[in-house]
Amino acid sequence: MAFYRAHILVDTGTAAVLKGANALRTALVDEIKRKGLDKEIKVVETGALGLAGAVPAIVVYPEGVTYANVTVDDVAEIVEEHLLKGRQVSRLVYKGDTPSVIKSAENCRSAEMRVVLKNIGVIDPTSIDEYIAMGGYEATAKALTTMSPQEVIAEIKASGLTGRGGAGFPTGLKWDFTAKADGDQKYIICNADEGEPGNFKDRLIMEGDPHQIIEGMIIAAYAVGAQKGYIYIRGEYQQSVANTERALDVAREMGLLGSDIMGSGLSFDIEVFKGAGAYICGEETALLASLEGQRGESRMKPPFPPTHGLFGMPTVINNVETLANVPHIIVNGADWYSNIGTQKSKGTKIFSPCGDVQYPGVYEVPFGSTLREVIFGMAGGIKSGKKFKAVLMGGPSGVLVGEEALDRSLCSEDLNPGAGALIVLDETKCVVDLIKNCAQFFAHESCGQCTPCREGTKRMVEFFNWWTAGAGSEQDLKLLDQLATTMALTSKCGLGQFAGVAFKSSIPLFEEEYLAHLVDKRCPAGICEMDKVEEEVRV
Amino acid sequence: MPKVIIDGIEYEVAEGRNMLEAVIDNGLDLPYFCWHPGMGSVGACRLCAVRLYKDESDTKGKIAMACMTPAKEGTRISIKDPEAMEFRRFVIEWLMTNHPHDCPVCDEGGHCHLQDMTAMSGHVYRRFRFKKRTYTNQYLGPFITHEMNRCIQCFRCVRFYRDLAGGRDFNTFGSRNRVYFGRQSDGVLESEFSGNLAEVCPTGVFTDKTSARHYTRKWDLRTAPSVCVHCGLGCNIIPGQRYGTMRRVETRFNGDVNGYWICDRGRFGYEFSYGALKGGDGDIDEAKKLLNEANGIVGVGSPRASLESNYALQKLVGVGQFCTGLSAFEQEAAAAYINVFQTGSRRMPSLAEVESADVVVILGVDPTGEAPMLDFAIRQAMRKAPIEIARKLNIPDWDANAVINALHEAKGKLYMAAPWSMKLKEIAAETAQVEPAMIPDFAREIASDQANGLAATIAADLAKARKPLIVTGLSAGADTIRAAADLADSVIGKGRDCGLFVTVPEANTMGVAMLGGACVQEAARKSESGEADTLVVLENDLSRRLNPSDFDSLVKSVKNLIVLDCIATETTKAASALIPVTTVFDSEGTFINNESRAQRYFSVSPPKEGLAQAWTRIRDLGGFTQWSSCEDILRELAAGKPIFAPALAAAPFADWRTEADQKIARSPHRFSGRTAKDANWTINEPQTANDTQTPLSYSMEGDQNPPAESSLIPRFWWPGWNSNAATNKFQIEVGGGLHGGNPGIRLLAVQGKLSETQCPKSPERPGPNEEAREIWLVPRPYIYGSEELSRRGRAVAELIPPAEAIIHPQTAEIYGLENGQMVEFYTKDGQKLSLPIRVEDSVAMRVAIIPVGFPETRGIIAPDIARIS
Repeated sequence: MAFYRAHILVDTGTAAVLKGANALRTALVDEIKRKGLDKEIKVVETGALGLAGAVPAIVVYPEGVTYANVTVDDVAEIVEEHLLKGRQVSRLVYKGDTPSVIKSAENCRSAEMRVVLKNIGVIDPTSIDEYIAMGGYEATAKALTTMSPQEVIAEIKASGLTGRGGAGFPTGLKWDFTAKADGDQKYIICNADEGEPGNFKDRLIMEGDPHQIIEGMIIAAYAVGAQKGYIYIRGEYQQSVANTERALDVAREMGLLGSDIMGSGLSFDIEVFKGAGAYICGEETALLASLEGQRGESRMKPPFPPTHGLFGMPTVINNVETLANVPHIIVNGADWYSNIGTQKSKGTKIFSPCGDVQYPGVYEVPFGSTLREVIFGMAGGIKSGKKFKAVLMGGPSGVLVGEEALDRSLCSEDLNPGAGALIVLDETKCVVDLIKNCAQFFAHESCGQCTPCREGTKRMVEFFNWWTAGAGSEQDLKLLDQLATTMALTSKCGLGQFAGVAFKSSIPLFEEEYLAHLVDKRCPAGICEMDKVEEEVRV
Repeated sequence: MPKVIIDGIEYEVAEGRNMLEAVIDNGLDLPYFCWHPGMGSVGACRLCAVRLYKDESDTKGKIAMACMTPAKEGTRISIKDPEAMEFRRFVIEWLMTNHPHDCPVCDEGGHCHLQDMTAMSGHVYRRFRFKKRTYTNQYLGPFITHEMNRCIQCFRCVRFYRDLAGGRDFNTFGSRNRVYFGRQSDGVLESEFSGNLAEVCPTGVFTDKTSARHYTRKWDLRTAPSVCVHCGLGCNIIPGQRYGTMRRVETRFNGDVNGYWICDRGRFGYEFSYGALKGGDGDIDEAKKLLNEANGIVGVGSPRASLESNYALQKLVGVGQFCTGLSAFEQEAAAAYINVFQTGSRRMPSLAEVESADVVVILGVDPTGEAPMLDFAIRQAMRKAPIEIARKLNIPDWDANAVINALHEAKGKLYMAAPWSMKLKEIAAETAQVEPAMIPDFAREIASDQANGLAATIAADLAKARKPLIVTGLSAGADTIRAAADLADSVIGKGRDCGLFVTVPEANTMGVAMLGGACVQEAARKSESGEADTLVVLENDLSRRLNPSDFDSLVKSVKNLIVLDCIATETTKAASALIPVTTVFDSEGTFINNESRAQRYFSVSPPKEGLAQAWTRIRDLGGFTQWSSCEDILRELAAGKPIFAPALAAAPFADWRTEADQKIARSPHRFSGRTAKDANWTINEPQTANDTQTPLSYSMEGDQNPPAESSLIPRFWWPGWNSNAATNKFQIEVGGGLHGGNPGIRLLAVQGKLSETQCPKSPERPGPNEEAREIWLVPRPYIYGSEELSRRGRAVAELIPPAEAIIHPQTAEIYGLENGQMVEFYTKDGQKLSLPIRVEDSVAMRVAIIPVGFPETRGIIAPDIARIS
């Protein structure tokens, strides 16, 4: 294997691609080659780095310097200064402390309802005192000193809290299974492997208010009788890891972690585990395998993690946002919580609109708010006065919806919000290009275990490569539709089952655009290089 | 038994099966890749898709994987559903996109599961037009060739290698459609069962490297049912030949012995046959003359020759003059074992039954080196022991990954005590390295009420085990066998169904031991004392059993040494008359394995170039014209010694015919070159050899389909199933026993009542005297190198470790020895042994572990006390 002295990671998440990450990557590769550095420096495509407000972004290793808002025009300077002369381009270096997605609460618009995000941008995330001043650890005290574990579970059940990672499983029920399972050792795992492109809500919580998660985990541990917790954070979230670890240290010093917490007899500690960047490891059983030091592959259920999870022991796995909701439920009560939201979706949901919106960022609204409220009310609508075209709900594994869906409400009864990403396209964007990017993402992230996903995702990419190179034909659409259906029906886990969803949902909405690519060999948005006939084109 | 509905027809299935098994059990076809009857389901390849209906009124149904669907009462599926068929075709098309289509140059071609499944699924037209994915292959050692481009990512290899065989140096690498199966870097596969990769791989990623050197397609191979000669477990094999030479060995399924697997020594050891003796009649006339002039004849039998040949020799020289060919040490241990077998109520499990044990205690034997498939069986036992955890969660046994996940680190309890630390240590709960003479005492301590430390732990686990098992072997000595039997009895006394499994070193050790006779040392004494001036040695290298000076003086003292053997040995070198005989692959006979199972094996090819089978040579020497076939000898033996009578039923005799009055064809129906295959030495079309000796024919004439007699299956082949997966068509239920029962019949019976204590106390044996620089010299069997035949094969020879004496660092300190230093050992009887020292803490104190059966350690097969120079 060749040895490279430097690696450049290019964020090619969906949001970044919409802002020209592919052109940036090509420019970087060309420039490096032009300078004769291509044997020494390798350009690697990576998933979203979580810098939605600051993309396109790149990270240069071994130094680990992140450059944000990089454009093609900056490439020559970065290569010349950083890679050749070893001087960092300071004007582009991403500072990281105050991500541009974090806005202060004062800017909060009327429809926003901040429960989980109430401290974000208000307190210093490194200060536990500020967190406590804002009512922090009150929930822990209340739960551990005045409630029995059964009462805690009952409260969470009554609140109607459901998982915020996308699947929406009732949290109280999950805790109940684990509490009732036999096992000398039980675990609480916080799933912070926020891998779905377009999502960056968990990062915000970890960076801006990490104690909230710790508190949620302590309460969960008390409820189910766990002794050990892990926060599985994706490795790219360096700031999240730093802030969370600092918060854990402080909490430990103050006796909020460790043995006999608050005299309740609960002994519980938490460790941060950094993921290595595989999307599949966000799936709970693959996450367990990864934590155990094995290959990140999904496992068959049953047995389910609540009874047979980490190292075969009963394990609760909750998303960051789910756990962050817990302290508020304990302090304010289940009744308060269950009055927020809709019939079936209780509480608030954090959305992360990004792409062609004026104010990409993170917004917390009660379930049942409309898509229009989030995109136009909060994210400021489409930027540069352009028209709205479509939005990819929840990321590449979600559905694509158009203008007709803007007034639908975001809740499990109507338009499922998934994990909360809203990737917005304006009228100048190409849907085929967007879905191609989604397909590339899945082909890259398939674990390779089952045939439909391993081979099907690859075939999808090849189809899109044809189409965007002007080599498509009308029958292809039907063929790929059939392939996507087969994958959805027969893949082993969610990755393959959802890999074709965005594509399938886009056909009825944008059939004309597909046909323009396939029949007329033309990209209406002028984005796809229709004349670029590569070697990998059908014969 | 639950009834399921497949395409509208009701079928019965056994309890606890999945729908793929239900389909195959009932003789229907459904393609699959990742499922394997020996490994269960994981639902990865998605090929066995069917339409699953909720009930009779459900007309829509959904696509489901048959292998992941439990076969419960009323389960309703359709195999012929158009959408399911279309999906299966789709899966094959996906898998085929990257497959190189190099069947003409692929060693798997012709017995390839991927070819079969592609044909079965109906994928005929290729739409894929992109570049294929390619990989770099690895060097995996002398046994296995790696060709990753053919891979279809079924994950069988890694599941076999890691989950079943317990290997750690092989894994899945990469992700998406770049998944790679191999080692972290090039190197010899560490597992002793790596050859099975060639059989579990549904295509040609892993193929037999030895076979590739003289490759022949399956349809051109002449095959016959045979039994492995490389240890005493009697695994069933299918040797394949073309032009009269060996091409490869594959597993012959036997549900009572080896199941779907064999070890690498058994699979690749066959290469010794290339160095087999040639020379037609040899000195047969000279031998006849010598016998006529002899003044006292002693016959030395062989534990690697058939029961029939040994009996023929016994008849030739007379019962009193017959020697079993075992050493005094082996003979004593074998006698103790047979006595233990027949005088107790212990379970004497078959190899397959070992897999159901949950607590195993190994006393003084090394399964990996001596009887490798026992290592494999113990691994399965330890893996499956806590299966109840999964069953409690309603996980069916076949749901392989869910079972692994539910069991997690839980496994059965394995304990062992031996002078060295063996490979099974990696799955053992605890091990003890002890001096050889202390092992019986250790067993006795476990059995006693005053056990301490490890012995107490073992006693406690045995007392609560579901199926406890004590494992020992002839190489551990008679005392240990008796003490092990006593231990088993004490566990039975506590109400536990305790088993005893005893290994024997060679394929027919039990046969000669049961036949009876003196030991090799006694034969040497008779010769030296002048009681006999002529020695007839059958397939036995006396230098392996006599110490070097005794062997030399025997060679000098004996007037006439008549030797029959298939290989050149120290003994054949000294022969005054040498008669070459055929190898096991070209012979018929019966082997009796360690659990006294009599198994018949058949020659693959007729004797050629004047060679003959050993029994015919002895017949000619003795003029026993009443024997026209090997069977006649067995009949005569059974009539004279009723203990062997059940062996008559081990396989049908020569007059057996199928219902259509046919013999079984050794050559498959597509056998090519019938008239021209001998054109290199004759232009005439040779007449097909007529086999009057067995129910098999040497040609393709005869029955090709599975005979009702499982002992006569010459190969697993079935229309549409060219690979070994065709085994399912020969089984009562897939993965279960063969139609007509698994081959082999056990000769010894368990008596059924508790026996008297076998060995209340070991004879006093002084340990080594440190001041006199004495040390235990302990021979240890190695899988590659210790067994006489396989070590002559080219591939096996590459893996033979260097001959070294391994000692503990503290021992090294006491005796002032250093790593790598050459040391001379002087045994009690004056033998000198020079070996380099290797210092390792994996061995007991005061012992030097030396390899058994190596030229450097010739003649030392029992632990002995030696003095260090």
